[in-house]
Amino acid sequence: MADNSTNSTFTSTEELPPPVKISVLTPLIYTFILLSIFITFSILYRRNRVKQLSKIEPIFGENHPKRIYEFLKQQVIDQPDNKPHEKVLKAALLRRSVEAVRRTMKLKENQPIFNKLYQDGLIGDDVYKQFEIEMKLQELEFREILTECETFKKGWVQTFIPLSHEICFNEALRRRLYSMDDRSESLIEMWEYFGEKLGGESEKKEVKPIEAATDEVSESTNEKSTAAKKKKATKSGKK
Amino acid sequence: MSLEISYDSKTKKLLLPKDAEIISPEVKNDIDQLNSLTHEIIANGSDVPPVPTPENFNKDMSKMIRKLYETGVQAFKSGKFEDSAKQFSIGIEMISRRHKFESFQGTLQELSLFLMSRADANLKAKQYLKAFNDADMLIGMMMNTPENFLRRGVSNYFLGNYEAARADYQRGLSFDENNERLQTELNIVLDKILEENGDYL
Repeated sequence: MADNSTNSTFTSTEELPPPVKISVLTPLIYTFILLSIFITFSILYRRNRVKQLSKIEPIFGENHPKRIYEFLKQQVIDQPDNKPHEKVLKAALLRRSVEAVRRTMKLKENQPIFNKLYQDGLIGDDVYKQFEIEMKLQELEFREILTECETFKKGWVQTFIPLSHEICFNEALRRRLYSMDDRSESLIEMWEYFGEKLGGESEKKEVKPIEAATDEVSESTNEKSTAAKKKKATKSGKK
Repeated sequence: MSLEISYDSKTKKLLLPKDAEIISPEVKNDIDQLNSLTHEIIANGSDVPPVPTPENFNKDMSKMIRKLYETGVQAFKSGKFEDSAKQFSIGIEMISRRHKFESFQGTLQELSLFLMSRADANLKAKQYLKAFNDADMLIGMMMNTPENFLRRGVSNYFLGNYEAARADYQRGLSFDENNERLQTELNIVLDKILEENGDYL
């Protein structure tokens, strides 16, 4: 009897299953799995992003001065007997910097245009992204150049960039100057072409000379203009 | 790089195969630029190229260039316009041989003076295409000088490009509206355009 009249609460506690023993390793394994999933996701995400970025076409063509500099640097390591002179390397680094200056200037010139076009929805995200990446690449390129520059001579960095600017402008001026002959040839072709199209228009190009722009300017021009005015006046008088 | 570049330690130059200009003119151009810059840095003698300031401008060369300019002006004054243009061309060639790391501002000033004079000499010698080219380059260098528009306008007039000449004179006048020479030339070209269109009164 005494057994039957026992407290029910008491019996229920007795029936409870024994507590599950959790190993100390369980949370560690859990954390490990979580971390590995995280890392895998991160790796895949980054790989995918790099793949997408590599698909973006660069705005500029191949950077030849950079390749030439790298080739010369490699030459120093590979062929110590026939290694390039230090001034050749300096000149190559300057040329690389000149190219970076030229590209940066082009990008900065076009930055307001890109911004405006993007704001107006005339260019897509991909093109704008392309522009932003190019800007970033130029920054990195400059950083790399300046690090290289410091290896040649300490303190050269301060004068290096202004020097690159000057070389860049001087080269551009010379390019323009040397292209003058070719340009005049193409102008002749173009004007002759139009002359032929218009039917003997080229003959008209031999106009009566007037002397104008030179220092001893033109009495003849003045005469010509007064003559023209007189002619106008007489004709209007006749009318 | 697809082209085979080699380095010659004697001449301190980078070399390319003979057909490089055809295969890749850009690389050829870059190599040429590098070789000339190397040559200039070596010729300069200092460890690194000096800071481009007016003080570091090659003064000996400036003297030679000034002499050439004076000779050109003398020839112009004596009416030998073709000789004068030749002298100015030699001067321009000399300016272009200045070291690339010299002050750009100084080079630009010298060059613009020579181009102005050569354009005038070419106009006098009736070499209008050459004068047009010089004036066009001058406009690219000094946009707000009305005289350069006058030079290009006159060249355009004689080349038969009357509309272009009119535009040049008008642009010149936008910088200096009281310029009598530009006004006169503009009137002449306007008359010519009317005549060409058969509207001459």
